[in-house]
Amino acid sequence: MVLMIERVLHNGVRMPAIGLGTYPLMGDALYQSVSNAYDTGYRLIDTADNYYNEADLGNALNRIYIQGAKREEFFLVTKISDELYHPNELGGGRNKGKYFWKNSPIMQKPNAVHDVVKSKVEDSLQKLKTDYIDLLLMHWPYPDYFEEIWFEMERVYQEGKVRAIGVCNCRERHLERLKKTARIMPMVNQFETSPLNTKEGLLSYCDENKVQVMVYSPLMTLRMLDNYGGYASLLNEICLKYKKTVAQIVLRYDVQRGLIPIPKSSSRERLQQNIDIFDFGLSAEEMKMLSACNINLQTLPESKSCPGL
Amino acid sequence: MIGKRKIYRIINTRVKRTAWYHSLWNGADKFWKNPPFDLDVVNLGSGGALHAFNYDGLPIKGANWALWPQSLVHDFNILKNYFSFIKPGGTVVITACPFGFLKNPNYNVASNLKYYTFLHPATILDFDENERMKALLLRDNPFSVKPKRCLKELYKYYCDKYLEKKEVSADSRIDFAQNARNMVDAWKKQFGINDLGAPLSEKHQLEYNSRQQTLLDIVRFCKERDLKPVVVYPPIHQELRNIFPEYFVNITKSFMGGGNSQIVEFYDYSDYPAISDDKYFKTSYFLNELGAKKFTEILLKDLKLIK
Repeated sequence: MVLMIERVLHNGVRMPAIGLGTYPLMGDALYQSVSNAYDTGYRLIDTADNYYNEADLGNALNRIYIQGAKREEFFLVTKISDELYHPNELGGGRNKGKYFWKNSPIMQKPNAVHDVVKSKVEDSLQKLKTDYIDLLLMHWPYPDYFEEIWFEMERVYQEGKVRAIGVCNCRERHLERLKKTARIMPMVNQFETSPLNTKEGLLSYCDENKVQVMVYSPLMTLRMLDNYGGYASLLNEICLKYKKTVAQIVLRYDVQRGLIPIPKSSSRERLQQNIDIFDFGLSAEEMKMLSACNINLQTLPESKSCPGL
Repeated sequence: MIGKRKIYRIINTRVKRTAWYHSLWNGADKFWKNPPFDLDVVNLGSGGALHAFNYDGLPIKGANWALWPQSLVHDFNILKNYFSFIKPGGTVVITACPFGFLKNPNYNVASNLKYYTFLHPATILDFDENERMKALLLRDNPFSVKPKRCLKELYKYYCDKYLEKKEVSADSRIDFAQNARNMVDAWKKQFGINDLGAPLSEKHQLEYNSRQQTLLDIVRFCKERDLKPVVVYPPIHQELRNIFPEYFVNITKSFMGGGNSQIVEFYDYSDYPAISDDKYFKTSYFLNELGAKKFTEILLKDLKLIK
């Protein structure tokens, strides 16, 4: 069993330092991934209401509880989001524009934001088969209702249904907006960062404002090593030194920056490797060299998922 | 025995080469594949911009995001969807055009169809789920949606390709003066304006105000995201310039300056000596490829984006 370290959010909630991403796993593949993850020491599981897998995750967790695990061991993260077209639909995987956009018919009703957030949280609790969520995130800083959604999330937090609340894909300007109206600042901001896109400014801002950073798709850059020879060589050199894989080096880099990466894997072997990163440490020089690979590499077209973010 | 799927695939591949298929999208297919990241400069706009900008061969990462026809509102929606592809500090060129301050009364369901193939639903005006399905099917599998039309267009395509074509006369150069008159007459009819020198009607003044707000919103949006907005009026042929009375010219320029030159920089090349020769123009309004390349280079140097 891996010795897991934890991060402490600004409201005192403790959070595992690494987690499991679940998009786009479903059904048996999701169960296998979560079951293997539990066996290898993962306790943080990340999903979202628009991944079409919350119910499958709830079922998977139920099976694991029957085998002796307890709900309290897990740190469940979910998100409130706009809906995606189902993978089997035409244009599957793309945003519908159904929630949190002012043109949407659903949002024309009075108290729409309140009703939608409340309904989504209830739905997530039911699907995940739990009476509380450890961390609820706003999936994107939806520009039409950003502050209103956060207000409703604060309400849910105060009702005790969630232990912590946060945001995703927010820049400094979004968090500055929240400072003007929020009663509670986000405890977490989840976004993509890597040695090729270090986002130092945003990380410093989050650190100064006690916002814990989670990293999605932390291993994205490993698909592009052919294009970035210097980065690939450096990783290989460090791998050889510590007898670790490139994925382990990148995840260790994230952990040492104080971030919480949530890599996804179905393979038991890779799950084991990805969490086996707490028995070594990168030197200050190695951290600096990895950070020096930064080229502000943008890999995800965020504005296509949330126009105007 | 060839299967139905394969037959459809073969036919669809060929249909996608026809002029009819391309006319459905009016250039929107350039958005079907993501542009490269870290663009240095992009331009928005309608027909004028589509023909005015050409970044080929220049030492810069630029993209022409103009479509024809396109309003300022749609320009803004495209920017909202695609600004992640522009590098921090990148330049956004908002392209001026005559009548850009008025709403297009020809806006209709058909002209909206192309946006379903690349914009987020929340940024599509009058979004309709049935239109979305139709657009995606037409884009990917046109033969399944309009089989008879596809066969007809394929027939036309292959006839044009393989039958004798008429030689284009070397003397069939455009009459810019006549072309300019035709363009202005068409615009006057389209926008319901009889006298270009008369003050705007109440209806048009409201449209002007609304469009001005959109322009200001685009400028504010850019500045919030560390993008540099500039407004540019590309060259137009002298024959077209001569038709516009001073009042109309002033209102166009005033609109594109955001009403205040301190809000956004305005670069006016509408009467630019270096691009005044007929050889740079396709029509009295549109530059040709030679003109676009020359104009783009001049503009980028003036913006200090290239040396």
